[in-house]
Amino acid sequence: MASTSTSTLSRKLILKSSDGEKFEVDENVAMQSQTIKHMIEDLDDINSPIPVSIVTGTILSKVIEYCKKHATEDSDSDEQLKQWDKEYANNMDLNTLYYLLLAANYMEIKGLLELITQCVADMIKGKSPEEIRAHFNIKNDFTPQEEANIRNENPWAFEN
Amino acid sequence: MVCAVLVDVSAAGWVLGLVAAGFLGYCSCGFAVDMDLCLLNTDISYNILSRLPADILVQLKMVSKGWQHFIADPDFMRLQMKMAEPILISGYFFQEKYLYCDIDVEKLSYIPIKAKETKIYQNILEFLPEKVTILGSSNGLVCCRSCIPSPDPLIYICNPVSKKWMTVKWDRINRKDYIAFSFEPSSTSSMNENTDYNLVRVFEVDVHTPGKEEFYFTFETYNWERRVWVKSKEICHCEDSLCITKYVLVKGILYWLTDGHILLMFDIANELSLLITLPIPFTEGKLPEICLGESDGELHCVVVSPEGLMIWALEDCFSSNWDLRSFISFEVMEEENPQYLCNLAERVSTSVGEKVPWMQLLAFKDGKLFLRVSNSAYSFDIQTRRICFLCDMLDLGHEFVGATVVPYSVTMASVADS
Repeated sequence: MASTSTSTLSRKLILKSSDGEKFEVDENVAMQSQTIKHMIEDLDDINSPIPVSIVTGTILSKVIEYCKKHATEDSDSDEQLKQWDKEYANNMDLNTLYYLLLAANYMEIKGLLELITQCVADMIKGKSPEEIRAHFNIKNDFTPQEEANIRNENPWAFEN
Repeated sequence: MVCAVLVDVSAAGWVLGLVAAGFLGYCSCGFAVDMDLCLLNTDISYNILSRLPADILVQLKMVSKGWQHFIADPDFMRLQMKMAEPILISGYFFQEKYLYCDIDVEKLSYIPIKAKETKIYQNILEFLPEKVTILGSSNGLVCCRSCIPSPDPLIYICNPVSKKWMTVKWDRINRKDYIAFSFEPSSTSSMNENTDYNLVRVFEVDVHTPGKEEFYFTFETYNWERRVWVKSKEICHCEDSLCITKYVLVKGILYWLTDGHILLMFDIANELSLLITLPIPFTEGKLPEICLGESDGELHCVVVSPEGLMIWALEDCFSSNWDLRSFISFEVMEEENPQYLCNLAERVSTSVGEKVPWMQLLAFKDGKLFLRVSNSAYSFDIQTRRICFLCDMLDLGHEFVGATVVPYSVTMASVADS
């Protein structure tokens, strides 16, 4: 059985993005996505491109970059991998983060979803409501009176 | 351009998009999404926002109506209680107690500890139908009772953030009732009151028979299903008295400070009680300044010694085995905080035995000690050894020696309305 598992590891899959871009990846890289794993199980011909329907090529390439890093069991320590994750997430602009979130959620890549959600949660953490509106470009739809009412509900809880 | 489908989307309001789309069922951030995507977004926004601690979320209600609705959603609040990192202490409740007069003090102060400039709040529990005396707080819920006299005395359990509350009948009323409360949110999805809330009453019994006098404690726990107090078979012989509200509940075990060299332990689930010897020298006369508290899931005992602060943790209750986790000398405290502290050793030692000691330990929680030195209240961080001035004691009241001090942390814990 050893030979079978070796050949499984070296198998190549083709992922096709929503805008038609094709990516050839090792099976163990693609298998980090639960969605793709399930798709392959139902697939007769693994040589045909696997459609990743809601993910564009630009985003898919970033997803693959993450999966490749996490598929290789090289000498990276947990600490190094964490550092790599951190830099990976920090290099993304907001738009990319948004689509990565959707992609990770759709493709069911637990680690990536965890990384990006935590990254966005951390972005929110140190910010005041005003700063959050500015950062994420959110419109304040409260009247000044409504805003004051919320603050007056628990003024003591705003002491942070 | 590869982003064909979603190419015209700027970062504009996408988090609002996530939130609004998820909660309100439509998306207002400028691009067309079908219903599936909206559902997917709910998952993601739950996932992101439930990572944030409750004290931040309370403020995020101000961002927009979408955020406000999302954060107030009961499903979200339940998930957040499970997911978010446990919040460390937000502040302290402080209520005076008249030592020689049989009246409850109505004034209840709250002191937030994270504020840049401390402001004291007096009206946090004003949403309750009457004035109350605080009994304890656990995981964001506050337990209190009616101030006496009251037409219908009750025990209240409330969340000051949501202003929701429920009541428990308070019978056989005594202003000096020993009532302890804890709330341990269960990991199961449904709120099971039987295991989540612990309400324990301890009674001091004094039996006189010809030729001898017997003293012991009895225990009652509240049964939430039947809504009655249930008496435990357990009794604990002890001649010392409990100090009102000076208790800590850690993982279902109640520890109560007495006026002697021991503390009373009561394991609620197993109805087992025990007396534990305190880590203080056995001397006649006045006990050292001492305070119990919970930190990292362990019972701690902080003692003012003639040389400094000793922070003990209880390792084994059956053998009264305490581990000295930290000793912080007065010199170190003064060196780190020269603007606030000086000449501590002498002032502490000369005030031993006086009605108002120079240094008084008010509460200990999550590695932070709330203490009074002279006329000021401070928060002292055991790790960093830095002290932070909170307020003048006179802003809290005049009777601070027997006062009730309750550490509190903001949470989204829900309370079943009654």
